[in-house]
Amino acid sequence: MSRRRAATSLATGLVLVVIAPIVWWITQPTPAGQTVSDVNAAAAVELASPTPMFSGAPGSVGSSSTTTSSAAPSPAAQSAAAEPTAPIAADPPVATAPTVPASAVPVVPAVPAPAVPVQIALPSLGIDAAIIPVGVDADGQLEIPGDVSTVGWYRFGPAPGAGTGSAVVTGHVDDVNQGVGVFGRIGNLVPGDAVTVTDAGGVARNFTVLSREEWNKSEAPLDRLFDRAGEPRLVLITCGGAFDDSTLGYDDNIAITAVPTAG
Amino acid sequence: MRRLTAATAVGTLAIATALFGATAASAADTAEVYVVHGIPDTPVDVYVNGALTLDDFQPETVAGPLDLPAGSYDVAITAPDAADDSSPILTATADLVGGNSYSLVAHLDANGAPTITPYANDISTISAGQTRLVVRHDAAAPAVDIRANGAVVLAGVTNPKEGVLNIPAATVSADVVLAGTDTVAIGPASLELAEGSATYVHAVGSAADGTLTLVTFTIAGLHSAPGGVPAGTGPADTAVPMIALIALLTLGLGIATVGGRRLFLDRSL
Repeated sequence: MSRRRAATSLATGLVLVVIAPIVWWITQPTPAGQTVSDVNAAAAVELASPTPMFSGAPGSVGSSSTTTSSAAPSPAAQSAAAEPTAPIAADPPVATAPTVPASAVPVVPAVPAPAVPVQIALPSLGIDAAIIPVGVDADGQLEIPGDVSTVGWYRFGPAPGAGTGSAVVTGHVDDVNQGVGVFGRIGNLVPGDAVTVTDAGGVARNFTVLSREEWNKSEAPLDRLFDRAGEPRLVLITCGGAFDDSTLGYDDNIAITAVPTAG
Repeated sequence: MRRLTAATAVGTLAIATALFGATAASAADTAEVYVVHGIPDTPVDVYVNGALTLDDFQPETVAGPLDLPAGSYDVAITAPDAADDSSPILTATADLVGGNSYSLVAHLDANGAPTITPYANDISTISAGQTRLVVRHDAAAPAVDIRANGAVVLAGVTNPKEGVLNIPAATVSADVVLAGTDTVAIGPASLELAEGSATYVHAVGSAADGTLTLVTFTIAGLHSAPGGVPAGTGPADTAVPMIALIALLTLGLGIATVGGRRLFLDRSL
């Protein structure tokens, strides 16, 4: 074997050793999460209810015993005559003060809900995806559909088309096993873009993108995004920002707020 | 006429008209009060601070919420034909703390005597996806267990205690059994436990008279947002590129080693 051949062999081997990692590095898939600029964020804030949720005073509400200072019946009562209150139905009811018939009082009036959403179209991104209802996972976080080609509607909140509140639709930006998700590029939506949500009854509702926002997850205004009161709106949420390899999660959330299209 | 006293919370006269149908939201300086009638077969009138507030209040119904300024109130329950509250069946005084929610339950005690029990309603916010179930033993009956879908969820509840559960929202089949037994006292009843709502279930009536039943009301709007939106787990991660990389590196090292060794040997010859 000639020296030249040996030298060529050595050079080829070294080139392979150098080139292979470079090619590998270049072809590594990158996290799909976007980093976008906020657009029209103030408008989205204005849609929220002033007090996003009912806040009781849990600190001072204890068990009944804490408010009962003398709940025990008196002995006299125990020994009282057994005749119940004389039921006299014939007498006209007294009406000396403003009264309300107790039996006619509903506790909480129910608002008829729109049908369950089943399909969402984002024509400016070429997206047309199925929607499934989702709730929360075991950690109390929003449940995201396992299939990245499907998005989820938060079923405990308003449905798209409800008279009030924020209807939330979410989807994976990407998945470690499935690649880029159908919501991977919603950060490209800009005010004016159209969104159409179709419900199980076949009714299509059109929305117009109003704003685009991104926050670090620790600062995402979840109470506003999941607000069940305030102006009717549609909120699309996914992940964005830098990808953290140690947690296999993204640092940010991106939300698109859309409002019912006029007319 | 029997007369029982209980300290509790309840309503006022001037506001009596505007109170019903109010939402759960209340300002910090008012309290909301639900009135539950759990005494069988006995319609009553309810007077608050001397004014007729609930006229001909029917058994096994709920009135409210009454939205009342914080303060102390005198409550009297009379026969439905009473001209005023001078001859009450039951009386109670109520100290209402603003921002709180109360239930005032007229019911039978464990021995069958009418009484009034006040309860503070837990209206703290509920975690996303959860519901709150509050069960109150307000019946002339011994200790009971509360079962949901056949499983005991609250054990050994005695009159007038309450048990509170925060559980995933669902429609459950609930029944009441004598404590430690499978002897059904009430139910089963289908309870739709809505997410973000608190359902207050009152077991009322008398076991001896066969009048046991459930009286419920719901407070909605206690929901909260999910804890986060974990909508991404990173780029698709397959082993193929890594395997190819290792194969190429091995091949490259092999070739280089062979060539290098030849060169070295040639030189040394």
